[in-house]
Amino acid sequence: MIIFVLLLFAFVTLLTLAKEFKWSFFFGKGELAAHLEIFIPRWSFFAPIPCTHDYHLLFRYFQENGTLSSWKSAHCLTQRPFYSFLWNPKKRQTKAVFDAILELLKFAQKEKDKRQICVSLPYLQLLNYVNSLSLEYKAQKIQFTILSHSQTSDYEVAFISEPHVVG
Amino acid sequence: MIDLFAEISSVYKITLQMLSFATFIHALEDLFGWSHYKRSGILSWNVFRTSSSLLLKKWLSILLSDTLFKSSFILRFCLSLCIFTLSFQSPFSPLMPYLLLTQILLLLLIGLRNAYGLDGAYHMTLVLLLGMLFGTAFPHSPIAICSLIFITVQLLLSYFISGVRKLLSKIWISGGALAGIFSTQCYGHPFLFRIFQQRPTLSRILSLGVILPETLFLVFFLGKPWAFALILWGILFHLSNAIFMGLNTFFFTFLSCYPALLYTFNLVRG
Repeated sequence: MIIFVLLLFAFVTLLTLAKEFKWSFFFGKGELAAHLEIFIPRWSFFAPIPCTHDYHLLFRYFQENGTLSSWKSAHCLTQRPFYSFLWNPKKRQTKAVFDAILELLKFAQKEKDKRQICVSLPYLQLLNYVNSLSLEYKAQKIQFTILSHSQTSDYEVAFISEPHVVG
Repeated sequence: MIDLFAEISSVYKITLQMLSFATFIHALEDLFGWSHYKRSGILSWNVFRTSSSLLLKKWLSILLSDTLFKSSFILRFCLSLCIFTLSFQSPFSPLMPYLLLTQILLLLLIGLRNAYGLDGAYHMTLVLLLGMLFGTAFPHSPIAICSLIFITVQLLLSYFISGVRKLLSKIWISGGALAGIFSTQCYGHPFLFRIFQQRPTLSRILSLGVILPETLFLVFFLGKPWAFALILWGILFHLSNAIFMGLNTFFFTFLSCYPALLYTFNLVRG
């Protein structure tokens, strides 16, 4: 039993190193490998280049009469309450929006085919999110945009989606 | 103080208590933020399930459906309470490995259902649970010691990798990284941002105050003064991350590794 446990611990440690140093032969390209990779730690927090920008997700909708709404914020970045060192339930949602946005921006940078971008996971995840927010406005079509912003630079459009029929 | 962690059962007891507190907060936060996991939320299963054919399997779809998945949050919350209570009685209770195994499986479901938003605290929790699982399953064998060493190795790796990555980064060495991070609303703090922006030298010193201990954390094993200093640094580092960056679960999970670290220190130093 001890041999098995030692091998398991060594394997997990090896996978940690493989993920960190991007030894792709360890993970391969299969679906199972992609799922396994989710559970392997990545320890390079905020390094080598930390994110120094905030990203804002906004959406607008097209009404049945053809009028266009103004941009509305889909995810409000607000200041954390003082007790967030103990209790911070918004953390995962904030990071999920951030992760999806970063993944979409990276993908959009290297993929030139718009159709591929529109069916990518982060695109669909963000579209699903803004789509549900637009239901209350009885919109016909919806479009979302990502703005980047930092204390040293003004708001910039980082991405703009295609208009989609609200579902 | 360090000698207190030479006895293996007390190390397991303290680790399980700290870890179960961390998983308790994590489960409660997930329950509280359930709306993000719903069909309309950013962590919706509706879209993520289409990302691979594996996730479209019927049994997995049922397991990860909203109703069952929400129940898993409640179960994680209850399991945390059970582990916490049981660890006071006996960390090596025969029931403990089963509770820990269930906790691991439920945590894996979170990653399977939607990988966005997972962080280092989630991964360290998995590492701790895995170590504790084998340690409590074989308490009177060398496996119990190996499990604590495994947790220590992962903790040391986390500091070392993070430290070296920062050491090789110009923005971190110049001190600009801290001002940059604290300027964001996501992980920032307006007061600290102003300070770091106005005092670049202080920003650089504090930057090195993060990079050097992280990179050189192995000196922990040189002797008690080093160990004591680095433990103090670790507590302050994770506490400030929790206070100023809102990384509360990092504080609880990373500090849960410290009893194992101190045990390994005693093992190495004889």
